Amino acid sequence: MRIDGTFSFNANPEHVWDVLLDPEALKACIPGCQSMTSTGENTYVITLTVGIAQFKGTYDGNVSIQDAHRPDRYEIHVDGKGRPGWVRGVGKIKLVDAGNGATTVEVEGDATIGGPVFSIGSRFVPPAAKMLMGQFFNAMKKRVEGPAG
Amino acid sequence: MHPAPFAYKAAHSVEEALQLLRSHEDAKILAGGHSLIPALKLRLTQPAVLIDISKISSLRGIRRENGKLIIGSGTTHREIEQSHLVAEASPLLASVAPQIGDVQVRHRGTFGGSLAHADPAGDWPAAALAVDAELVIAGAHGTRTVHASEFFTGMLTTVIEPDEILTEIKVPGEGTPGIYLKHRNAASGYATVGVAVTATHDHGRIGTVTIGVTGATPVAFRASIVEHALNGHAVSAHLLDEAASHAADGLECLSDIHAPAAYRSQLVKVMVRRALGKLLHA
Ligand SMILES: Cc1cc2nc3c(=O)[nH]c(=O)nc-3n(C[C@H](O)[C@H](O)[C@H](O)COP(=O)(O)OP(=O)(O)OC[C@H]3O[C@@H](n4cnc5c(N)ncnc54)[C@H](O)[C@@H]3O)c2cc1C
Repeated sequence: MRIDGTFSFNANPEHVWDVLLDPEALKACIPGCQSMTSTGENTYVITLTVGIAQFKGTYDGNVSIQDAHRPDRYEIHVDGKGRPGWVRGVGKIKLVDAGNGATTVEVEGDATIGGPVFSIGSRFVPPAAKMLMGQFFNAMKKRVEGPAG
Repeated sequence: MHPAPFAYKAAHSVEEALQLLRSHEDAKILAGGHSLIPALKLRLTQPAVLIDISKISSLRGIRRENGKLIIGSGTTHREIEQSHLVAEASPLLASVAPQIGDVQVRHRGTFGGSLAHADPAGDWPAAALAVDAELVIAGAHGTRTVHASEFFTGMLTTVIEPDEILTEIKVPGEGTPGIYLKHRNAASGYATVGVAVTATHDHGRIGTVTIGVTGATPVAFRASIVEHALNGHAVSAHLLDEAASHAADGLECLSDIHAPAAYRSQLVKVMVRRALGKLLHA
């Protein structure tokens, strides 16, 4: 399953980078994040409760940031499982300087899902993933551009 | 698979069902069960209490009142399919009903359940949008009426609150010509794309066209660009070609192993064109 998206920020790439990779910001902006604990440099264990409408599930997983080249690109590796199913994926994230103190963030995600959510819910997963990604970057955008950011 | 344990309560009136919804946390309405039960069995959803509304007789049936067709939310797809009143008053609805699932599904699944579930590939949402249905929703403080254009808020989500029940659906009953074309997923029978169209015309001039599209995007929508390009104009094959070619403008279509986004957007254009051709004879 591919999940792609492009998001624009009114801040320079360095600033966007620092917020996107700040554990506190991640915890606040990841939709449904119940807990996130660091287990080493750039690795975390995370618990999420996410879904659509009544179809919610709790997932436990490992997240790691790899191949990080501030402020240009990084990869986020996710490996999670919960009662509704499991997910394994990699997101390649690129920060492009858009000039005038703005940044375009390009996401290329590739994920594999399985379990019950896959057997009847597979057609709901890509739009749900896209929606959650949108929520994440909108929350990040507020943090980057807002008075506190 | 077996569902997680839940309590079962059968309601015998809308008031009782609303009361039960209010007095139980994490309760869910059960209508025909043909979307809810599969999800329960896979434990994708685990409500503590199911409130069965299928025994509420006031939620069932079809009648005409002040020129409008009024359909109870608990009316089955099959009852709509077999209704002479629907055939006469709303050819579009009559065209949708026989195309849903198979006959077993149509005997259990309900009109209201389908609308409340808001499946991105459900057939009724497209038709409800095309006829601009009014949906009557009952809650603690009486009832409110919502137009189809405001009812669906996203994939599997509508404006119905957890303590509310969809009770009836009102649709125009003047017999406006309409048709539903469905491109079925070969495995599930659900719509890869479905287009619900109504159109009036008089002496070669188009009156009003309405187009609802399901299956293509996370939530059904009205193809207003196409409608505006047609309303009031003289019918011609060229006009229909041109208008339908814009049916997928700006859409972010769903994509899966059965149908990539580009295929769905092509289907939208082709099927809108075919439906217009059938109704406007061009
Ligand atoms: C094999 C199969 C094939 C199918 N094929 C198709 C198809 O081709 N096209 C299609 O459109 N559908 C199809 N369906 C789905 C079918 O039409 C369902 O019946 C329908 O989607 C849901 O209606 P229901 O009455 O069964 O609702 P339920 O499954 O009982 O409920 C669905 C959801 O709506 C809520 N709900 C139900 N009624 C109300 C109400 N009055 N007020 C508030 N909330 C309510 C429930 O709480 C639940 O969340 C298919 C189903 C199966 C099993």
